[in-house]
Amino acid sequence: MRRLIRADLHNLFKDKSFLIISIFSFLLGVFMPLIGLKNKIRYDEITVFEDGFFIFLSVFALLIPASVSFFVGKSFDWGTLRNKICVGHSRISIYFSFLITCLMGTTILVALYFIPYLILGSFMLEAMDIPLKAFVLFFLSSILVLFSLTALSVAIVENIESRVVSMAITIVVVIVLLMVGSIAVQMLMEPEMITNSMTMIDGEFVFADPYPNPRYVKESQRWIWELMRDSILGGQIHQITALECNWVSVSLYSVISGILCSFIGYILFNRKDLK
Amino acid sequence: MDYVLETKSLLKSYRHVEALSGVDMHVPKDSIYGLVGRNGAGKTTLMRVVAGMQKENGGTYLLFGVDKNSREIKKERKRVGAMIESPAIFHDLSAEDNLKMQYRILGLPSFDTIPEILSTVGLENTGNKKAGSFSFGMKQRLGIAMAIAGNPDLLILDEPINGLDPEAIVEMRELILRLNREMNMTIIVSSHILDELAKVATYYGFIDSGRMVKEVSAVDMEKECRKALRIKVESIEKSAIALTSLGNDYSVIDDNTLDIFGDIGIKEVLDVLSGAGIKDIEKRNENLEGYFINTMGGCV
Repeated sequence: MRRLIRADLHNLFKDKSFLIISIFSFLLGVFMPLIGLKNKIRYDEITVFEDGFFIFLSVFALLIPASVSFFVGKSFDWGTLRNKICVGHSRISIYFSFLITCLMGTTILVALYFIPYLILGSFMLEAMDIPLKAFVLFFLSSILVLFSLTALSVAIVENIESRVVSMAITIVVVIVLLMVGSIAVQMLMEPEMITNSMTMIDGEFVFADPYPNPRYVKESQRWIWELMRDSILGGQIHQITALECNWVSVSLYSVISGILCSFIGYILFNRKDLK
Repeated sequence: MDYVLETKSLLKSYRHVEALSGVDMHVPKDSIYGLVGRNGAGKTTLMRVVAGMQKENGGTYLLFGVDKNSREIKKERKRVGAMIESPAIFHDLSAEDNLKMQYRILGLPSFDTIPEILSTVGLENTGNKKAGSFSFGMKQRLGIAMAIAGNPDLLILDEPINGLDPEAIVEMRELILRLNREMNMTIIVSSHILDELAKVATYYGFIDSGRMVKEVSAVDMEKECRKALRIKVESIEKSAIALTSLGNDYSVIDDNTLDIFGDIGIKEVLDVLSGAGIKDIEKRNENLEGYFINTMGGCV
């Protein structure tokens, strides 16, 4: 497998789409602290280091599937996957060498964002409000979320022959996951009682008596929504961006879903007839 | 006889369609094995299965005498190169970089032999030009270069001359012969252009509806090929009736053409087919196309 990873990495570094996405990640890392600085100069608004830092998660949630589709998808499109199989590389080696290469690619993209943000943010932004340890844990959780997303993208792309179709499907799946996760977050934020509604009595607005919120998720169903919030991409990103997450459960679910996606992806790939 | 590839009752089906229905194939060492069959006969499926791209539903095959289910098969696969259907090349890389990529996949220690391979396939002067902008013939040759990286003992080529112009076909033919003669590669090659195949193949396998109908060496086939008179007539029906009634062995080629086999003289033909309106008579020896038609029935 080492040989394949070496070949795939060479290929990744020569891949134009990866180069473009890398440049974009770097520019995002430069741009975000500059926005904080601009707000400070123009509006006297204080921007601390972690404000806006985790926005990269939402951006990368779309960039990574696109990058994986371009990179892995071309092996199908151009038939170069056949070259590996014909000379005796096993499907498990081929699948996991792609996965490891893509995980390395994701790490590079995160580093290209993080390094300029760290350097510029240290000078341009205010010191962190949250403890450094918490920031590091949020950051590590973010990386695990992106690794899980990479594993999902690889599982889809390695099982669909057309690069365009696989990219479309991967991005649609990611958007659905983002939406479902966000809906779960919204549902869990619904209060049990509505306390601040107003009604008009004798021509005057008065506060109505508190009444039960019909959209409140009851205890019996709450754990399902909490599971969805913690385990689905949209919920994870929402929580990390808001710096309000249980990093242990988010990390754990990311690892589990990453392993599950890779396992299912490999099983399907192993049974697939290649053209 | 030493076989580099043997298939035994190989089965492959796609959902409800049986593509290979128990193929027995024997590819002798150092041969150029021409795989002949109609569209959909199972040629490409057979090649894909043997190359490991698809899994068979039954039967087995031996590569260099090693069963595909053996642990040793991985080692033997390294002795195989293949270009199946389209050339498997990176369009965004030059010919040299494509080969470097294949060398990395093969785990070859150095790139020293790349110029030699590029020269063998006639792509030594392509420089940094990206493979995506190559002509179809150049892409085919680069595909073969990728397949022969690592100097395989068995090379599988599926329709390598499809879509090539006449000049490129000649170059491809010479390349196949060179690889076989100078680099001692056993080559399996399928093609629809039977005349071209006849110029290189030393052994033939005729496949039809997923079955190997016949395997024959080029030498034996030549012996079996019969002499014939090709006659163009106005009425094929009248000719057929006359020839059948006299018990002549013949084969209808198209609406106006038929071949009469055996030692039959032109004068005799003129007598027999006097009522059929003879337009032309040509003496011919049966070629691969005729042999194929007689073996399989119908046309390619």
